[in-house]
Amino acid sequence: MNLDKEKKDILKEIANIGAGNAATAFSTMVDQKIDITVPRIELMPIEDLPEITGDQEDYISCTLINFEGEISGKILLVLEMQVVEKVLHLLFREGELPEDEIQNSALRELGNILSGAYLKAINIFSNLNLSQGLPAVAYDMAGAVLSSSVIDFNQSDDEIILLETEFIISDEKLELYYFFIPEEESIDIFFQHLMGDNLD
Amino acid sequence: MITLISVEQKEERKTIVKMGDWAVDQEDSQLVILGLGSCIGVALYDDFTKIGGLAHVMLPKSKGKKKAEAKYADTAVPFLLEKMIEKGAKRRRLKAKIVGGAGMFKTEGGQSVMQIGKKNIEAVKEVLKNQKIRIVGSDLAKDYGRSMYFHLTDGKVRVTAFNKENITI
Repeated sequence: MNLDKEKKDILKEIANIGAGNAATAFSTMVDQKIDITVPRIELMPIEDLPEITGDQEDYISCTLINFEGEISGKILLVLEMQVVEKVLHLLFREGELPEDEIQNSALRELGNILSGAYLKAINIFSNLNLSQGLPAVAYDMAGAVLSSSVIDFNQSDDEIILLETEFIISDEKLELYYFFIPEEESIDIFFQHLMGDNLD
Repeated sequence: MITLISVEQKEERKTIVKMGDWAVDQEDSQLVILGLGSCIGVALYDDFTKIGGLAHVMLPKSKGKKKAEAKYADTAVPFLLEKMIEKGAKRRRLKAKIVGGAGMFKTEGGQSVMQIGKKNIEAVKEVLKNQKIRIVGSDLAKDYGRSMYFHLTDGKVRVTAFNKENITI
């Protein structure tokens, strides 16, 4: 995959708007002001994905959403478990957390809303009409979860695009990893839509 | 000058085998995979020479791809065999232990969304059968991640998981 400066800038712009949308949606859910940092874009080999949070044995949550339309692929939202706990406390306000199934349901919904916000930014920018599938979640070792998330994927050069954003809630940074992983045959279509005739 | 090293003092080498990768080593060594989900760790062991090999298999079939042999079940096993035989292992003594193949992701109703773990298990079992290598231990499927530590001194494989008892196969 070739990700030159121009393509990177476009992705950064999309990520910025996507994260902005996501922060607004998130902010409504928890009724607090949420700021975002400038997204970081990186092209990374698929083999490095399991170590993205630092250690393959880190306990993480990952929401996986398939999207399809003119292009297809996956969106992954990855949070470390400490962050998930903070988010749950924000969602359920004070007191003790409800039972696991309700927590899971809340997290799936959050994943749905956040990824929807990104997808909307992609739709607007690219004029592609993409729809998202039902979210699926996993909580476990980063290595196990992340390797399994992309494994069934048709990517011959085995590289994926990582967009990383931080959400800042009342001066506290919450790290959110967001992966946009178009299928290999979709990547060219994607950039053609974004760049028109400027594609080399 | 003669230096004597007692067994206790000898430090075990430790090799981490990443996704799609492989390693072969002999005695006093540990081959490790951290965080196996739907991937499968295929451990082959020759208990006479204490040569062991570990492949971190990601997908069932290579579909003719020549690169990254360890990534696919159908190419990983013959490839690992070849590397172990080169090092001095004997094919007839090799036994297999396999770990992983879980279904990690679930939707609202608790349904597993990807069947790749299951397909990996089938593919690995089939290729081992074709190569006439007996499976002497396994910890497979279910819905959680595992780490595996393959000790080449005795061929034992320790499997760890979150909130689960460690097991040795």
